Amino acid sequence: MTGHHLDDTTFAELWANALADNTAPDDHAHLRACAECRLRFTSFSNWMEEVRFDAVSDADEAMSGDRLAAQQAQIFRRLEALERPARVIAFPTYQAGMMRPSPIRRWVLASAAAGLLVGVGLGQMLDLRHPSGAPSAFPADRVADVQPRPAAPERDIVPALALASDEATLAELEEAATPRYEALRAYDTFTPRAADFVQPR
Amino acid sequence: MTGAQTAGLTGREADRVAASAVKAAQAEGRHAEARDRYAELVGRHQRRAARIAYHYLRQPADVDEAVQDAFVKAYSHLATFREELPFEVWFTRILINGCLDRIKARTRRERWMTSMPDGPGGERDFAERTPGHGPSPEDQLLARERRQRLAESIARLPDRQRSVFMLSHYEGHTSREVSALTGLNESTVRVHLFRAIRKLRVLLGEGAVQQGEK
Repeated sequence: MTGHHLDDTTFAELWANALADNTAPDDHAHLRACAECRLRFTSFSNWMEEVRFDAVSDADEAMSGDRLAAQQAQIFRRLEALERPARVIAFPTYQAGMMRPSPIRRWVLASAAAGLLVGVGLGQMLDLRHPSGAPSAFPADRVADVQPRPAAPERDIVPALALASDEATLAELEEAATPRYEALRAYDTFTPRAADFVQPR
Repeated sequence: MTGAQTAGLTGREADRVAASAVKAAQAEGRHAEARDRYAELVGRHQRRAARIAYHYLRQPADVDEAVQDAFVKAYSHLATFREELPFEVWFTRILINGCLDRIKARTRRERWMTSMPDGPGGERDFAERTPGHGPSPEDQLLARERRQRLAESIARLPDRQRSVFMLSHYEGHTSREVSALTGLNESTVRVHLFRAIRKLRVLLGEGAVQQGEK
């Protein structure tokens, strides 16, 4: 209270008491008697109401009816999920089958492995590449009879150009290569021939 | 007593009847019936719960989660609900505790992470940008600024003052109810309420003066 009039602190106190008790805030002796304070208190009350209106309408605008409906649906989905027993996901059966082979398959695999082991073992013991005392498909006397093949005589390498000197052959070749179409004869005339490059002996 | 039969009762009495029915149905394993009866409670308190959570959290997505969590938690723990207390008080306490936990978690997060900038104009979603037949864009802008200032001022109040002010002034609870909701004694509630009003008057002073001169 300042002088004879009420100040904002007193108004705040009046409002706090009114809100706390859920009563009318203007029930005060001075307010009933003083028109000026009543006017200022009305202004204060309008401000308080405006604060409330702004806060509530802001919240209602942000949380629209559609949003609340979606929220409610989500609440009930969660409540249903609470009551449902936890789902046990079955381990895939095909994988279990793969992990446990059938008896036949197991026997085949075991036989193959055993055969491989026996084969490798025998191979190590017999050493088939260098027979010693063991009967062989190639007896020693027959092996000794085998004469080494005489080396092939060195041939004279005849250059292709030398072969080309054979006039007859060349003539035959040229005859064979001569185009049968008239239109191509002109090109054939201009085409150099192997015989042209043969040096005379 | 079904939902139709509880229609003539006061809100609190209807809450008590519905909560008892849900508890009984839960105890006997009639879950579908329990959920149906619980829907009455959700329908009666959801809007109010969303408002309270929004005043604390200010982010609609956070509000959705907080409200959902509170209703799910209340349903799961309904067996511990004592019927001499109003359901509203019990439930609101769960909700406020959840909101305060979220604010703490958010504060911790913001300490380590930088926040994304708001969209142009800070609007919430596309629907707000579409033209309508409501107030003019200038009025909308002014209202938005005013609300923004109010929200900032409310956020600057200490936790207890803020809770007491919101529950008393926005939700219309008496000091006894706020005392039950917050765990503070009644005289402390009155002191916090007085201080909150006085501080808000100072924080929003300029706007208040301008409004008073109109």
